Amino acid sequence: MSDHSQANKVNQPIIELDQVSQQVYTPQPLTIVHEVSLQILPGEAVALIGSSGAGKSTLLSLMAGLDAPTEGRVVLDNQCLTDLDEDGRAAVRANRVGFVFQSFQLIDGLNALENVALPLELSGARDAQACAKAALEEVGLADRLTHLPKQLSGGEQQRVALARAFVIRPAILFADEPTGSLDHATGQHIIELLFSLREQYNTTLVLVTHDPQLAKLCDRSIHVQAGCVTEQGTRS
Amino acid sequence: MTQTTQPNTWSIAWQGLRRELASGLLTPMLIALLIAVASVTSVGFFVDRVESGIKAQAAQFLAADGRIESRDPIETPAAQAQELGLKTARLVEFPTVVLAGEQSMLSSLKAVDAAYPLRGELEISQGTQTREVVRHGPKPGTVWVAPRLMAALDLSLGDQLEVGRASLEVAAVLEREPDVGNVFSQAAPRVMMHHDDLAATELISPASRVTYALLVASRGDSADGALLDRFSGQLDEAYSLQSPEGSQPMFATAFERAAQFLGLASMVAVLLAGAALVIAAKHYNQVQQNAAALMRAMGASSKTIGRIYRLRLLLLALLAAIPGVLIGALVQLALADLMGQVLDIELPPPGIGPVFLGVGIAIIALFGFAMPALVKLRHTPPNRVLNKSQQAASPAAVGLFAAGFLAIAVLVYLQAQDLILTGYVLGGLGLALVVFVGVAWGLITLLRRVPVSGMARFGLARMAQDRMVSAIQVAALALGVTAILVLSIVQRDLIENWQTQVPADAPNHFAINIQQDERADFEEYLEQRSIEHAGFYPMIRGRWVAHHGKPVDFDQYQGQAHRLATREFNLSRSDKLIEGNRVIAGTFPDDGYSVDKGIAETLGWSLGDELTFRISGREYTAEITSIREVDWDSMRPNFFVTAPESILGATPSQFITSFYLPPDQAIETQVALQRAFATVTVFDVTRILDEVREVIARASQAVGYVFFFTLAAGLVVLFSAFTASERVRVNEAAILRVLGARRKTVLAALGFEFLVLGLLVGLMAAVAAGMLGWVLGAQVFDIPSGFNLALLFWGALVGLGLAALLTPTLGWKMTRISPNQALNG
Repeated sequence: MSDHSQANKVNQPIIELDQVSQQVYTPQPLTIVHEVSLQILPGEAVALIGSSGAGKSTLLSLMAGLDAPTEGRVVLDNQCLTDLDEDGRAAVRANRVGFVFQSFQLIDGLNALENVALPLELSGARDAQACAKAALEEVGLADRLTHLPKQLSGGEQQRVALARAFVIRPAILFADEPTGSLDHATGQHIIELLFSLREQYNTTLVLVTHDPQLAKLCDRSIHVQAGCVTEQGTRS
Repeated sequence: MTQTTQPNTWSIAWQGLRRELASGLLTPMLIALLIAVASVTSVGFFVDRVESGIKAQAAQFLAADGRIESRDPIETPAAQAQELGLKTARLVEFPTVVLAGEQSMLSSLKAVDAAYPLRGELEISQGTQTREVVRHGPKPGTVWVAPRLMAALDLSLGDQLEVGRASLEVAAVLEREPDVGNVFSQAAPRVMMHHDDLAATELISPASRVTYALLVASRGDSADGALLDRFSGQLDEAYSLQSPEGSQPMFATAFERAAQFLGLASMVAVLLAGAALVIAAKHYNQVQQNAAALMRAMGASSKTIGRIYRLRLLLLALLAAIPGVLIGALVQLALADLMGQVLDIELPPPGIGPVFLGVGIAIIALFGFAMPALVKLRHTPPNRVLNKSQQAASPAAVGLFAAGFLAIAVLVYLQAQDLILTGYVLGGLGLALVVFVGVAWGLITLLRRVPVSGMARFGLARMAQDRMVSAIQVAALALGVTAILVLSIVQRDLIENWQTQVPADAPNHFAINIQQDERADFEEYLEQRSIEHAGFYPMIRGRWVAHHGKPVDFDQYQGQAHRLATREFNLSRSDKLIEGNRVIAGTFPDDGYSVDKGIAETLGWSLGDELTFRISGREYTAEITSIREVDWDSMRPNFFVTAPESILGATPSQFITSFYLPPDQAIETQVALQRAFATVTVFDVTRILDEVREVIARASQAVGYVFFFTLAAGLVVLFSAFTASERVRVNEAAILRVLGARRKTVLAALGFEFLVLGLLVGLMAAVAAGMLGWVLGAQVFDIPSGFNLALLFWGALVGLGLAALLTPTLGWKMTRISPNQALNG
């Protein structure tokens, strides 16, 4: 690949939203996200900040293809998600996208190793167990491989979730309040781990947070209010 | 300072119930309970009506709800019955020779009044194939005559028949009468006349062997048991009221079995209700822990929490019971309509009993099955509001099982109304439950270690997530499927075995009064015409006069036992065991009496008892040396008491045999036999056999219908039990989809889990059903049956069917909403 095309690719957004809106019916129509347009470049770390109910998590789910917008266009890693059905969006997520949630979202019946191996097994990888083991070692849980989620502390569960997110070496990581369920010290440790892994694998990060200090760790912040982007910030 | 008052638990319970119903949290429990109550009550209503219908048909065999017999005219009881508002009819029966021109023949005369029959119908014909159904006897001055007598005396309609000094016109051929009575009492063909003509015959004298009978029946369409009991209680000791069930031993057996099958069918709904509620309550308990912890944190005592949940359950029970009973009543209407067409039984309207049963079942089931799981909510630690991993200490598993088991015991008894059947079901159930949970737990543990990858591992992990819960779910489902298999395959086997006991070519004619010197000729006569007989047995009539050397105290016996003890016994002399008899105690042959198990139980006889019978003026005393189980359905000569030559060798006897005659040759052969052997009496039991077969067929159909309804209810109950885990499954499916799994991958994981679970459930249920069927056949229904290997196939098929049904249905629910909605839902 030439330097020119490499430069082009770097400047080409990995996530692009064009006039994206999301309405729900409760039963009256309620607009949660209103005509949002934004771009995120590869390798960027972007914080979505705003008050509770502002529409941050909904915006994140639209970017990640967890939901389809009622209007507008979402492009993720050069794939227009709007043109894909749920299975098509799942295929995009399978190889390129990692997730970390506030409530960990581990499968209770699977142990730590199996939880981490799951995305690899879904994409048909042969060495799923070995890769998962390495990922858990990387987050400091080499001695917790066979523990079930309920046998782990909150911090440990979030580390398993981090290992699960990074085990596929994702191009993009979506993190929704990853420290929301943790105490300050544990949360700090998780953030350090998350940013260290992101840097190590040059992963684009989209982080939903209330915490201005946490937002400052990102390259830029996008302010969301009443479903609209009010300020996109500048790349530091 | 704030004044403290007692918390308004009613209000909290009601508000919580409304909220949880609106949010859908209680929906699985409500639906499970609603369907359980609806299925139990509809089966209850339906079984109640079918049983009443079959009983009403039983009344036809007696032509009444009750019958009293005497050697003397029955005057006082008739007045008593009329005073109580019962309908009455009189009849008189005795053997007499009738004449038609030059020819004569012994007949069994029956004189009936205008009220006869009180139940059932008669069939008459004008000598053609067309039969007319009537609900009255012949008019005064006329007689109705059995086809055999018509043939034997060359009678035609309009001919005169001499009955004693009366000459009566033959007005119709009597094809069928409801109260055929004891087969031996109608040894000769029937002549039916009007009661008013009896005096004109001048046949009755003090020396006549006349049987007077009074028939009684309630005014309504069905028997009023309480009124009949009152009437029975007023009767002089000399009389005993014969009930329809006791009117014919063979019919009694058929009814008893029909009722047992129906009882068994209705139990399935009860068991499925319990299985579904255990699962639904467990789910509710898990979800409610947060709410309980919050109330505890706010200062609610464990006693208050317990009271709130008890009240909530009570309200839920009532809320489910009322529509459940209504649905049950509606469903049984449709079922009864369908049944009425097929069974040709007029079903009486449903009683009020199933309504109470429905409400009672809702309360007992909820408290028996759900309350134990909710008890631990009382002990939820308040700090669970801070740390979700804090859980209430589980109450002892033994306690949970004991409460559930007690609930099952009460429910099953309410349904079965039969202690023996309840005992067997509970014994089998308890054993099956322990074995099922143990085996399921072991297999799930073992399967979790199987080195599979991908979605198969996910499916197995899902099952192993909470091994004990999964084991209980598998056990509950296996119990449901066991019940379904028992009712379908095993029941069919049992009914087939039962029906083969009265095969199509079973003997349908008996010949009695065969003298010693004509036995060989009679046998040769049959053999020349290729008529197979059941063997010739001496028939000795004797009265039981002493027990252990003391005269029999007949007053100690009531009802059926009194009648059996006081009437003449048919004994036989034999050194060989009669075909179809089985010695169950003592030795045979031995130098003593061999007695039937049934009569021994009725009269309190046991091995070693010394009995004395008076036969032709001489007494014969011996000990009981063996007890036999007699197959009374076999249509072969059978005897309550037999003894070897060494004891009864000197007694005068005649012989009895039975044989099969094809319907088209019956009359001709009967007449020919009568002419060849004038003293021999041949009588036809085809009608009785047909009636028994009809009862069996109707009972089978009734069970089939009850079974289909229960099966449908069971599937819905099982399905709602599965929906109890829907929330967790939807969440897990969402995680998989977030991680990139496609819909079909999620379905594959679910399918694998249900496949393993279905096979586990199906095969465990097949083994249990096979064993239960064997025990029921051998111990309860007295029908020999082996283990049906096909059950394994059917069990696996049911398991696969469950997987095939549940996977797409539940899978659709799991994948229809977006992963984002599912994770935030």
